[in-house]
Amino acid sequence: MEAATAQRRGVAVAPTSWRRARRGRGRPPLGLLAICTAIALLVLAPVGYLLDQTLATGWDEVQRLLFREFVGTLLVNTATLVVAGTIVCAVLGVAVAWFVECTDLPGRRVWAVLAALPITVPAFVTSYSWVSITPAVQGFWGATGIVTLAYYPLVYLPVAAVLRGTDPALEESARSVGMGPWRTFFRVTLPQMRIALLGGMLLVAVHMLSEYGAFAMLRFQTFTTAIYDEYKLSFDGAAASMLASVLVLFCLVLLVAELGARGRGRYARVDSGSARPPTPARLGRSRWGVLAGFGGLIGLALGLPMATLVYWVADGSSAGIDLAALLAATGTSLKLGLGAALLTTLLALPVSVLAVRHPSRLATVIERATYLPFALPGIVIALALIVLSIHYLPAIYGTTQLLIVAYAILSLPLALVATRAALAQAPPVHEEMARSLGCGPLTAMIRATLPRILPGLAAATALVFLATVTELTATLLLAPIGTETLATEFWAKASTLSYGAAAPYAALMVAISALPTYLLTRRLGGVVAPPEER
Amino acid sequence: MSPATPLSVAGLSKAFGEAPVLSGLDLDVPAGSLTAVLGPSGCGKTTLLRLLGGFERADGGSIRLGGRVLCDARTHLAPERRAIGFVPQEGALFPHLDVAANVGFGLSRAERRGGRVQDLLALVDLEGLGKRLPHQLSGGQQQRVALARALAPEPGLVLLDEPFDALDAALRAQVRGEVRAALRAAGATALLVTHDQEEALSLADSVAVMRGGRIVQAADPQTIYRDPVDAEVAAFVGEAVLLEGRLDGGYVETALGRLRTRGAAAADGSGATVLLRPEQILCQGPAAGGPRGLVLSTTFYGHDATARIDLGDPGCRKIVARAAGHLLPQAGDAVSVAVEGTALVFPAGDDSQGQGVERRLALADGRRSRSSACGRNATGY
Repeated sequence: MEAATAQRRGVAVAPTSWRRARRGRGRPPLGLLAICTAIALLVLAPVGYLLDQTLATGWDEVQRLLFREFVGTLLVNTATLVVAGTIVCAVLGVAVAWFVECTDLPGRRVWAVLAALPITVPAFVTSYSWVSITPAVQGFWGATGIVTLAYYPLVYLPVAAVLRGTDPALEESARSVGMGPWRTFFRVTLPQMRIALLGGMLLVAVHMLSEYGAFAMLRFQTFTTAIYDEYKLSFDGAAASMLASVLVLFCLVLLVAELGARGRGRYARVDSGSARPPTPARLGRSRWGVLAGFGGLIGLALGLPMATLVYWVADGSSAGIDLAALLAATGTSLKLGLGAALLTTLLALPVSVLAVRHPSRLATVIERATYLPFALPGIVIALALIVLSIHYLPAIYGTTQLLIVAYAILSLPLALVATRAALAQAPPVHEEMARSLGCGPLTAMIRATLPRILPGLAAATALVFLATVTELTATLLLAPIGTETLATEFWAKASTLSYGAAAPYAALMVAISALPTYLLTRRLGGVVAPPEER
Repeated sequence: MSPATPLSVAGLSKAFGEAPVLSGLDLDVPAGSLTAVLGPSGCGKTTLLRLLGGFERADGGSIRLGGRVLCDARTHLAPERRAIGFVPQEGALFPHLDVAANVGFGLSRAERRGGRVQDLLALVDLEGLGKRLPHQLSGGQQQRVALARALAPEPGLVLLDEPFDALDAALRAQVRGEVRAALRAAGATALLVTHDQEEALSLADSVAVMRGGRIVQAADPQTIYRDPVDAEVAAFVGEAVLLEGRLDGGYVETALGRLRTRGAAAADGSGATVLLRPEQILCQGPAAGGPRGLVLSTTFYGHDATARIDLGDPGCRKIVARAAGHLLPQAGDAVSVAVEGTALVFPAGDDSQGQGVERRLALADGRRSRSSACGRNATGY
């Protein structure tokens, strides 16, 4: 008998997985379900109401407002900008990621950080620095070039994260069956990064659709700038809502296109990392050219805006800074950012608990619904909230609360990505152990799981804070009268060409957002790549 | 220490979607005993534990612990109100708490101060390690902390889910002994699930063999091994030699000769399936008399060895004999075979089942070797 044992012992049987055993079976508690449904409604209601209002205006009105030459121009402008900008960002982002992760580029660790940094400078600040040097950057090419410099990290970061995690054995086996380096790149490496690349491109495209400040500064008209103008200049709610509905349509097309292009690309998901670091490709003599390229890119995307900013700060301070106004705006920005960050994380928590702990079709629907604002421009959400609150809750129109709700809706997806990932890494078995040791469901969550997901919650808070402090469009539309943030003060000064007076606000904004960015850099690759989870 | 409580499960059933996992399972665990539920992977063992722990709701049946109803048609007691301790597969210690805090997790503040934690650490032989964090412990130490944590609130019942699976073979036997000693000392009623027959037989007071969502046999380890209820259980709890035979008044005629029987009597002259264990079969020199055979292959384990023998009888499958390592014949040797002890017979018609068993066992073996890779991965992870 002993021998039979030895025999059996030699072939240890895989543990019947506790986690597998419970997948898809948890019946969500009704309270949790109710809370999450309410959050999903909060997120969807404004946009739903906006679309409903637009449809209710009637076909004649639609024709009158949409079938105009002006709208045609907007359509062409927006479409060409999105297509051109997204493609350039994709090529640039992939190239930077590949050189940094897969080659022996000298100083690649430093380049890896530097190449990600432009994401911390809001696009409207970047365009401000360029415009303040030369008005020649205004127009289509300037707009495309500048937003490309501002947004390519959205492609670079997720693609680099995938490249870092890819098993080098894949490329090596491709080489071993006789593929050259270029064919290997296109047949093996590129398909690996497809999902991350598409996700990044979607982010870039959506950002281009949503961007107001940069294009207004560059005097290039898109749907978003037109919506703002229609609303602010003529207070024509109907026309603005109509244009916003077209913009929503645009976003939906993008979402569907990305889903379609992604196809069944799940295989590209990479396991927990490779066993050994990949052997970097040798650049040989061409590395001097690549180095020059990197230098140029960082110079244009980061160096020049920063230098301009420093110049204007110096220039402006010689003319005297209104320190009181600066401090007040800083305080407002910090307060709003913190409030939005806490509220959003609080909203994200129950939704991610539902999605991670009680997966079901309903949970998926709720979770996806809360991701939708990610693809909706801030101006649409802001406009929708205005229309909705004027009709139903005039008391909250023009209050700080409404602004914070807008921030929360806009940045909920960011917070969700972070909390969801953290929760997924805290296995439910710990909560079950706590239950078996006498804790109720909520106590078990607090004692067993909360300590483990605190870093994730902190990341969520930081991400939302970052997004809020640099938010311009919704703030301009929704901020109560007399509430000035760093972004709106900067905007007020920059759009009246007081570059020197605007600079300190921009500098402070960048400085404030630098801290959470610094804390996030290591996680950013994973966090900025939400499409996989969507 | 613990108020030992008997567990009684009756007619328990549970299905996930279309697939029934438990179908009317009955099980009784006497107070203070250690019972092992033994079954192949995927037979519903983990589901049984999750139902007992209260993490899933049963579709039907009842669970009683001592005088309390934990679950029946009207009741579903929440996990925290069941007083059932749990030791999961990989320990699942709270990684953010040190050993003492893990052990004291289920205790009130006053109890934690009162030296109970130290007593429990002593019980599992881990005094002085209270300040360590889980990742600073070996796998076996983590398992013992998990046991101490489960025992701390003095549960009526402790459940152990393949608790030794994540440990490597050398450590396993030792940790088993320690866990068993701690359970004895605490006097707790314990239910352990495992797919490892050696673990079940060597560790438990009583073994319940699970198959197809129900318990097919529950008895002490010797009975399970010696008198399994059918050929499939026989083959699952140890290596089995199954032969066809014909009954003849307390004896059975087989390819290995006329053997004395025990077990279900049937009419003389009817066919039967005969169970022998390899250690009952002795290989002797060819001159010793008795049925002759040819050694096909041998497998050496150190302390003993097995030989596959072809009896040259077309109606008889190849048989396996076990011998002490130094007495092992060589492949190609001609041997004569003798049988020690009595043979267990199953009623006729079991023969087809016997062949089915071999097929199923072959499948199970395939599953095992495939999943062993996963097992290693899991351990590494």
